[in-house]
Amino acid sequence: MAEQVIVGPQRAVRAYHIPWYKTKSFRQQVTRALATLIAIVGAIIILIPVAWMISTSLKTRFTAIQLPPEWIPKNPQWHNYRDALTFMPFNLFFRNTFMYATVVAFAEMLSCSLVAFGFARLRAPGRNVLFLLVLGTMMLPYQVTMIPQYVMFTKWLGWRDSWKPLMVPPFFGSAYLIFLLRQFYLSIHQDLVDAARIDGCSHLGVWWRIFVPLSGPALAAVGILSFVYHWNDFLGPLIYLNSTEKLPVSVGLSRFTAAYGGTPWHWLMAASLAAVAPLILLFFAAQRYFIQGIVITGVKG
Amino acid sequence: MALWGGFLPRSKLARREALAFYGFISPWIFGFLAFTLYPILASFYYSLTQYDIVNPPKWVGAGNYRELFTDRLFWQSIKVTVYFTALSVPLGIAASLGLAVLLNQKVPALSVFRTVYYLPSVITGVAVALLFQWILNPDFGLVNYLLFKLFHIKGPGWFYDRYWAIPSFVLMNLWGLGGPMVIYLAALQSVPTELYEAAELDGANAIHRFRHVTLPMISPVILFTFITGIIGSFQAFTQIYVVTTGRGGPNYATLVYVLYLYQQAFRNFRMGFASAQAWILFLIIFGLTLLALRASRSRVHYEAPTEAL
Repeated sequence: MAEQVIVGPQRAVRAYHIPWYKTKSFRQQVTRALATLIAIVGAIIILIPVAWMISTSLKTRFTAIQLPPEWIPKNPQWHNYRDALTFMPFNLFFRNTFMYATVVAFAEMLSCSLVAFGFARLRAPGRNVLFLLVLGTMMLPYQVTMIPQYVMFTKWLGWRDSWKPLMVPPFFGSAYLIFLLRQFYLSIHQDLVDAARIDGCSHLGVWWRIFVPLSGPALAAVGILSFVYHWNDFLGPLIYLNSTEKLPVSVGLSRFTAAYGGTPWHWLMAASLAAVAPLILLFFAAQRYFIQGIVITGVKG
Repeated sequence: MALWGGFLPRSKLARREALAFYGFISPWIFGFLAFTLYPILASFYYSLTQYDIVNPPKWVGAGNYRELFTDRLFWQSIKVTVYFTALSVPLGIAASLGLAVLLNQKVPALSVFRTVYYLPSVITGVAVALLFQWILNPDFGLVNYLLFKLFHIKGPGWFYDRYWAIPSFVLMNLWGLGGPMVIYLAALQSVPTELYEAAELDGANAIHRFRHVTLPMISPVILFTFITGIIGSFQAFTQIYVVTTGRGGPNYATLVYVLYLYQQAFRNFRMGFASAQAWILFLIIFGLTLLALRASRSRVHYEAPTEAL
């Protein structure tokens, strides 16, 4: 049976008899149109909460809870933003969060890059065992080390109600980001390293002059992931910080409701939008690196 | 042999390189000893004591663990967490994989969709919790309003209803499905097109192709998202803390594991008891990971022969 099939001509003849709605190209077009339609509906569903957030942030306290909702407020209350952001010391919260996320992102870029370079490009006895340890620490839930760290930082070092417990550990690298950068560093060509070494470059020189410049996109991905992660961080600041003026945006937002009594939804949405605005801006500016970082390592959280 | 026969290599060049290696990774080594290894040991010790931070730890042996097993709220927190995980992980994988398959068709403006779907994953944490608390408000929230307007259904109490509270959090989680979607999209795009062409010549239709080509080829990625999903879901905290103002209400219906641990450690200052909880959490996560790897061994297909995992 099978030997009788003559692929070329037979196909051509058959295609001639296929009605137009059964042709492959027509089916592909239908699939594509359906996929696009579903994707658009999905995108709208995803965006509705954001639109609702923006809409609410521009309403008055009364119109915010009115039904049916007014999607485009007749009198947009732009001053909601000013009111919400001055009701609590949000300018301080922003400054705290920005300083924290920026310092930590740079610290992690530096330390993880050094460590990743070691693991990727230098040979030493025990290297593989140590790298397995790095990967192993990713399995360990934060909650296991959280309590002794808390005791260590607050009781022994006296860093109570301070940012130090949150800012110091990143200077020693994070397993997840070390892993991400190492994967990148493994792909840089050895000839470059050899040439630099022959020219008398030290290991540190190779790292600084070759690996750091060549891994720009990967370093950017690390910096961005770190920045976003720490901008959104909640549990850490919740544990270590008490005084209101020291809080980050995340904890500040969560205190909003309680501080006011009834929930001022219009202010809450204005403040929440302001809180995520930097992330959204960063996201649009650095989309490429976001996707890159995610694709290489999977996703955090 | 290489490890024990003199720790540093003989040749001068190799020895220099080894020293440089330890220099480069020294930040991590210090961090590991100070912020991981020591805390692990200390945490285990605390878990065998009664410790309120102010007074020195008092040895109680297995007392904390014994108490945990008879603690009603501890079991409640496990029940809630398992329920949350069982609901959110499979749903999340199915939805994000479906979306990725959809966007892997030759859809126009792919990057726009990618951006839109990925956007919520950037806005994680407190802001999302507050937003959904508002959208799912039983009285003046958007969802119940639309349910009534479109289908004449009286919507549930969502976060305020003990039966609906966990499903509400699952719904909120689904909003962030763009993260895993991007991973799936990358995996789908790395499946060689020859495989599809070959399958098509053999007469496989779209469903066959998905089952017998796509799924096996991306199975390692599915396993990866499955495991990280379970781990993440067992550590859920921020949004449930924010929505329930740290209580895990109504009626302990959303008292997830880490929330109970947090309450014990930082509200009741029962550091020993909370450390015991942390260790049980570690065992659960470790056990589930091993189990998932075991169960998947015959079902997950690796392109390259691997010894790892």
